[in-house]
Amino acid sequence: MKRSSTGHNIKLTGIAASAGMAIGKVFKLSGDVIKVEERSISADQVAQEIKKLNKALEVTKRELIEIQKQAKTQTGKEGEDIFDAHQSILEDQFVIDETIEQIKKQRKNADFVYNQMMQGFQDSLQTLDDEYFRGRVADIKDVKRRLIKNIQGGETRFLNNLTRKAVVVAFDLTPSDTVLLDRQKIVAFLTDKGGKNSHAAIMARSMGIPSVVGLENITNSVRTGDTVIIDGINGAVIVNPTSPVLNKFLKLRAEYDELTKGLAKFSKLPCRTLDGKDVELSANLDFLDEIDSIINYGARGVGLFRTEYLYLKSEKLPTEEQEFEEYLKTAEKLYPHSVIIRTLDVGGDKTPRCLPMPREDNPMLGWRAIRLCLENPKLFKSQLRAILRASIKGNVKLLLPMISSLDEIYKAKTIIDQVKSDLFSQNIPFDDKIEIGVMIEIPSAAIMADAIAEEVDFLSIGTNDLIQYTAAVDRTNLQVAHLYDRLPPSVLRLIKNVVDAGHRKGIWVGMCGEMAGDPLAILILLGLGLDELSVSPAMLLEVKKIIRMVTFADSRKIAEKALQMKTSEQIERYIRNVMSTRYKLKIN
Amino acid sequence: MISKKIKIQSPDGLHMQPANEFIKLAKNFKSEIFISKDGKKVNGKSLLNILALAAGIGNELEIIADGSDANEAVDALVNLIKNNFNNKESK
Repeated sequence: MKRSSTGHNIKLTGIAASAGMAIGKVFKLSGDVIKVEERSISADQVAQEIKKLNKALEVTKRELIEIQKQAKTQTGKEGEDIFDAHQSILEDQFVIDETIEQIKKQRKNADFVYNQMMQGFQDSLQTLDDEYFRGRVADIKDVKRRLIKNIQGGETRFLNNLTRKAVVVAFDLTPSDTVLLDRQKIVAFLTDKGGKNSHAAIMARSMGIPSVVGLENITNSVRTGDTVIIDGINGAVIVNPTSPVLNKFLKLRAEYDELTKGLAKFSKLPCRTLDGKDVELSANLDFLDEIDSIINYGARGVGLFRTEYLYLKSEKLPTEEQEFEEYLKTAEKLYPHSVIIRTLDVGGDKTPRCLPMPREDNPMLGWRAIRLCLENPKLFKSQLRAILRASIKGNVKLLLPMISSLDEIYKAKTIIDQVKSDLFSQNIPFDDKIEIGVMIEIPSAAIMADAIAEEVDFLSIGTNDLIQYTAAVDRTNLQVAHLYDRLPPSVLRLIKNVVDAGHRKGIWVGMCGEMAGDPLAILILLGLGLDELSVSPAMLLEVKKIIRMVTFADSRKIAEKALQMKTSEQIERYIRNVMSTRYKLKIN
Repeated sequence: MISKKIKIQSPDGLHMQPANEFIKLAKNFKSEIFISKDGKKVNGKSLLNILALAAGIGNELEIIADGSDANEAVDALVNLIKNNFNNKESK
């Protein structure tokens, strides 16, 4: 295939991850900036490195087969043949044998040796006179990048900076990538990988920009500077549209804008049901610069302030002063509303450069969040001091993530008490009555909610992880992402257990996961008696609109009925039916 | 060891797709296969090595096979090139 230019009206479809319509110029994050470290390995690590190589070869092969399928439907035989050749490059026995040989001989890590091998071929093609063969360096790099990424099992870092407004196109986006990007300049996110709940998707929804993920092959289909149309409602992307296609799009976008504007009138109205039940509607906050839009959208405070960005954006750990300033600014801007600050939740799919983590086979089940903080008292105390010091106006609450047992709560509270008495003896002011809550996002915690409720001031349910851990489904793994249900009855039962347990002990229960902002879930959550919903800023108005048109009494009956159903599908169908017949609302 | 020389007639030579056809066919044989161009000899079952030869129209190649089915291998591979890769050359 000639790659000199991209064609017109090329349509790609993926997973609609964040609603909205946009048009813009492509900025491709160079996914080929892979970081390969040279590491010496011991004799008994050789087998391990070879195993890693073989496993990555398998995974990459599966990916390439998927891409090939997609390429076939998009570009026919030509696209299919290219990825057939990519598979041959991947499975080049000469290269594999030589890589294994060199791992043994040089005693170096697999990704380093493989990179070295492939670099040799890139170099020899690069020097050729023939333009066609020089162009094949791109194919080699593409395969190499995928394999190395899979050997490393981690993330590729993108170090680019946006110079003007652009549609960001990437193989995949990791939390640290998005932190490094200038968010004001992003029109939309488009990625090869990922599902509805991958980081790029969540990020886009919180920023209120459209996103289509799981496009498989967008990085190969566009170049920086191409114009793309993004339909984040249907998960479609059109590259380099001609004027008839563009005009049709502009008409659709105008209709969509009309619809969303209708929501604006809700921003100043209370979040109250027809029969007078108030629900505390607050917003999830990832960055300080989102605060203005949160207030504009009428949120009552911040239900979840993710503090990870302070750690992900820099090579060095933030100092207590830096954190204190950031938290104080947030608390002051939101006053008299409150902000719930969650302590560091890294590990799993979020690995900051300033905090080296061991490689783990199952990072999502590994050393992350509170587990890491409890073993790093110095790090934990520094953040706790910053949060406590920012609480002087009395509108700060403290939230501990990834609690799996009471033991962790006891330990965390001991450390918090130490920090408090330190501050006290140093005459540093703070809110001594600061509310301390825990995230309920691990099934063991949801089951033990009654005992946990005796120890804390509030509970906040994190549904993304709760669903993932209850169903044992990695939501970022395309092979199993379809098993990650929207309204799984198992999780609804857990939520009921948590809400009831909290209320029996006289504490309030909120939710800050994605489900809290899912229009399809609102009636059930309301009926289950959640006191607070913390949603991404983009969903605030829609959630409020739904709450304002129903009665609490009705929602209780609806939740009760939904809880007796057996599958997520049944529940979704039932709620859709109720919403459209009773409230004339259609929901995607 | 068996070998035969052949001049490439197809306009795309051993571009990625035809080279891929070549190695796929080569892999069907037990023999070791090599391609030699201008004195440079590479593994004939390795797509990357063949690409690095950058063989184009008019180039003369030597197809070499060593093993129990060397005869059939050389015949089949030379025929593939002669027949312009079953017209599967890339566009």
